Amino acid sequence: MNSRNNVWIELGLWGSASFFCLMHHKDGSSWWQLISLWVLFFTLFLITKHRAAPTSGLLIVATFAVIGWLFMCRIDASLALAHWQHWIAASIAYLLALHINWSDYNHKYLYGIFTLLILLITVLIGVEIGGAKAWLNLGSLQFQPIEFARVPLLLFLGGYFYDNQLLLRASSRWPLLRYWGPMFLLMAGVFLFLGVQRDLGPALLFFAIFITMSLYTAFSWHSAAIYLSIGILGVMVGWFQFTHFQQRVWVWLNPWMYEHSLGYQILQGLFALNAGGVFGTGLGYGRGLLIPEVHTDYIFALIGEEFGLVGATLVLLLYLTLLFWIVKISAYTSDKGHLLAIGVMLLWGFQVFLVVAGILKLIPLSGMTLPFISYGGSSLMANMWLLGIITSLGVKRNVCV
Amino acid sequence: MSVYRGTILLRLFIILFCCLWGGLLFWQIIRSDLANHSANPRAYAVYTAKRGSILERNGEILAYSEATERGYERRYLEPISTSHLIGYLHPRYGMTGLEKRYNSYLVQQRDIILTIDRTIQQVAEDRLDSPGAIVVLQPRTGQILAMVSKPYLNSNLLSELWLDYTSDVASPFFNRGTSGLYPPGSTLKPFLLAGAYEEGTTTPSAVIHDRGQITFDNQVIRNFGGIAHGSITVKQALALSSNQVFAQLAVSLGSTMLRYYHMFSMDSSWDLGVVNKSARMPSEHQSSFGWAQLGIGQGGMLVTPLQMAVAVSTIANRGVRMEPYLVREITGPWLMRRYQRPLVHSTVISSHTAAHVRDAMVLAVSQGTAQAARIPGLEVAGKTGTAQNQQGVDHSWFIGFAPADDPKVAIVVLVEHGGTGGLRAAPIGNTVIKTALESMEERLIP
Repeated sequence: MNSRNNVWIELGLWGSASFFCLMHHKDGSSWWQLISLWVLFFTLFLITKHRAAPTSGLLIVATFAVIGWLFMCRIDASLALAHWQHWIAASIAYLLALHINWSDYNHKYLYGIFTLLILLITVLIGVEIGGAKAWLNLGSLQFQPIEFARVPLLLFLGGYFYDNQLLLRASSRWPLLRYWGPMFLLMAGVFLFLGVQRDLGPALLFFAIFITMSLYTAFSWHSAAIYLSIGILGVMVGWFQFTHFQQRVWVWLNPWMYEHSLGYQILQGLFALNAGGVFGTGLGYGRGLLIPEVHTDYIFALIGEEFGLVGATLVLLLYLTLLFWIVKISAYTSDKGHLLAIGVMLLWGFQVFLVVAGILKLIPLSGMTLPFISYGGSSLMANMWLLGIITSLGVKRNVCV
Repeated sequence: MSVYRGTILLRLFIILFCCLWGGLLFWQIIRSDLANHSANPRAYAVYTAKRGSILERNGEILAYSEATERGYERRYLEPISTSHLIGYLHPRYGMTGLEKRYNSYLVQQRDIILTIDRTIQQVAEDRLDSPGAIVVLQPRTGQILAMVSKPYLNSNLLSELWLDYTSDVASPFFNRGTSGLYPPGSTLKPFLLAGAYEEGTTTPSAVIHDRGQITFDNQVIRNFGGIAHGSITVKQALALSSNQVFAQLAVSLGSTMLRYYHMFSMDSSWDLGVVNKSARMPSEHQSSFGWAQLGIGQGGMLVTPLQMAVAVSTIANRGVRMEPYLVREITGPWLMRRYQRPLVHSTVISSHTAAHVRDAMVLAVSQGTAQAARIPGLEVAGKTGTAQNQQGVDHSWFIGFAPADDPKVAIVVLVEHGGTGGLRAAPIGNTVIKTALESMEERLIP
C-alpha cells in the first residue's frame, strides 16, 4: 500500500463517517467533534510526515478513532464529548513519544521498577470497580494505572531480551537462572500485584506477551514446558484463590444457566451479534445498549450488531493490517527497537484476541478494552504513546539494513 | 535464505484471527435461533419500544406510541374502524396489518402516512350500521380514501375484549372490504355494458323490447319484481336494471364477458400491506342460462368490495385502471424517504365507452333504481345491486362516483343481507359521497 492511496481511503472513510453521523443525528450537534478529530489527525499526519516517519499506522488508528467516535456518539452524546477529549490528550502522548528516539534506550531496570511501582501504588490506594481493584482516583480524574504500566513493562521486556539475547540463547536446555533470574523476579512481582488486585485479564495478557517474547528470542522446548506448567499452576492458584475467577469460568462454560445474573453480559453480547447478521441493523438501530459496559469491554458486540458480520470482519482485518505494519517496521529497525516493536504487536494482537474471543464465548471474559476503539482515556493515551514509539522506530534515520 | 522471523508471529495472529472470524460466523449467521431466545429482549422489545406513528393523509394521527412506566404502548385514535387496515400491536396477541407489514420502518421510528381520509372514514364508519363494507377510492390516483368493514376491533381494548372478539359469530377480525367474497348482483351490469359497447354488441341508443322475463334452456330469468319495461334503450335498461336486457347481452357476449370482468380487476389481488383475496373467475364453459346468470351478477361470480371499487373507479377514470394503494409515504431522513406515486395498471376501455357507461349510471341515479343516491346540485353516477345468496336475505350493493363529469370519489357500499340495494346501500353511499366531497373541498385537494 502506498501512502497516497491510504490518504484517499482515509478521506473516503471520514466522508462516509460524516454521512453516517448526519443520517443518525437529526440535530447533528456533534459534527464539530468529527471535524476537529479530522483536523487533529491531519496535523498528526503532517508532523509525522515532517519527521520522515511512516504514517500508515496513524492512518489505521485514525480509522479506529472514527469508528470509536461514531459508536460513542451513538451510545450517548456526552460520552462522545469525553471520548473526543481523550483523543486530544492521547494525541499529545503520541507526539511526545514520536519525538524520542526509541531505537536505543537505556535504563531497562528503571522501567521495570517503574512498572512495579505503578502496580504497587494501585494495590495500596486503588479503588475497586467491577470486581478488580484497578482504579486510581486523582481528584476528579479517575484512571486505570495498569493501562500505563504496560508501556514501561514492554520497554523493560524489549530491553532485557535485547541486552541478554546471546546469554539467554546460550543454553538450549533448561533456562539458566543466572541469566533469566532478574526477568523472572520482576514478572513474578507483576503477576503478584495483579493477583492481589484481582485484575486477571491483564495478568493473562502479560503472561501471553511474556512467553511469546521469550520463546521468540530464545526458543527451547524446555522453557516452553516450564511456561506451560507455570500457566497451569497459575490457573490452579487462580481457581482456588479467587471466587471471581471460578465464577467467570463457570459462567463462560454455561451462560444459559445464569441468563439474568452473571451470564447476562455475555448472553446479551451474543444476542447483539446475532441480531446483526451479515450487514447489521445499521448505526443506531441495534439494541446493544442493554449490554453492560457496552462502551468499553463490549463495544465489539455493538459493532457486530449494527455493522454486521461485514463490519466486524473489516475491524478485525484492520487490526491485522496494523499488526502487519508493525512487523514491517520491526524488520528494518535496530535489534532493540525490533524487540520493542514485537512486544507492542503482541500486546495489541493478544488484547484484541482476548477481548473479541471473550465476547464470542471462545474463552472466558477478560474485561479489557478494544485498543483505539473502546471508551477510556487511560487506554487511549497508553496506546497512542505506544503508537508514537512504533512510528518513531520507523523514522528513516534508524534504518539499518 | 530464511524468512524474516517476525512473520512467524504474524502467522500466529492470522490463525488466531481466523478463529475469531469463525466465532463471528457461528454467532452471527449459523445460530439464527438466538433471535427468539427467552432472554433476548429483541424477541419482545418491539412491543415496548417507541415506534413511528401512523398518520392519515392530512397528517392526523391514527396510531402512536405512548410512554408508560413499562415502556411504550400503542394507542389507536378515532376512527377505530381503521383497525382492519392498521391492525394491532399487542404484547400478548402479536402484530397484524400495516403494523406488521411496515414493522421494519416503524421500529426505526419512521412515520407511515396513509391515503386514508379521516373524515371520510369516520362518516363511513358512522353510516354503516350492520355487517358490511364501504370502500372509497380516488379514481384519478387509486388512493384508498376510506375502507370500513363492520364489525371491527377496537385495537385499544384487545386485553379486555379478546374473548368477546374471538367468539363473535360476525367475526370482527375479518376484513370484508378486502377479503369478503359476495355475488355482485346488478352492480356488475355497468361492466357488462362497457364490454358490450366496446365489442360493438350494442350501442347506447339501441332499443330493446323488455317483456319482464326471458327463458334460456327452459329456465326463466325475471326482472326485479317481474316488471316489464316495454321498449327501452340500453341506457335506460341499465338505469332500470333490466335483467332481461342484460341476460340477452351476456349471452351474445359469451366468454368475452369474463375477459372484461378480468380486466376490471374482478379476480385481482394487490400488494396493499393488508390481506386481500380474490375468487377464481367462473368457467368459460357455460350454458346460455349460465352466461345469462353471470350477466346479472349471479351464478358463481364472487367479488370483493375492493375489486368493485377498482372497477367502478376505472369507469370514473375514463377507462384507465389504476393500482389501488393504502400507504402514501414512509417518512425518513433525506434519501431514506419513500413515496408512493399513482400507478396505471392498464387501459381497460376507451374513454368514449367509459363516458357512455357513465351516462347510463347518471341516468340510474337521476331516474332509475339508484335515486336514493341523488344529491341536489351534483351529478352522481351510480348503480345499485340486490344480490341473491344462499345464506338468507339479499345483499345490498351500491357502486358509484361523483361528480360524474370530473370524479373525485368512487364508492362501493355493501350491506350484508341488507335487502334491496336502492333502499339500504344507496342512501349510505349518498351521505358518504356528500361528506367526502365537502371534506375534500375544504382541504382543497385537487
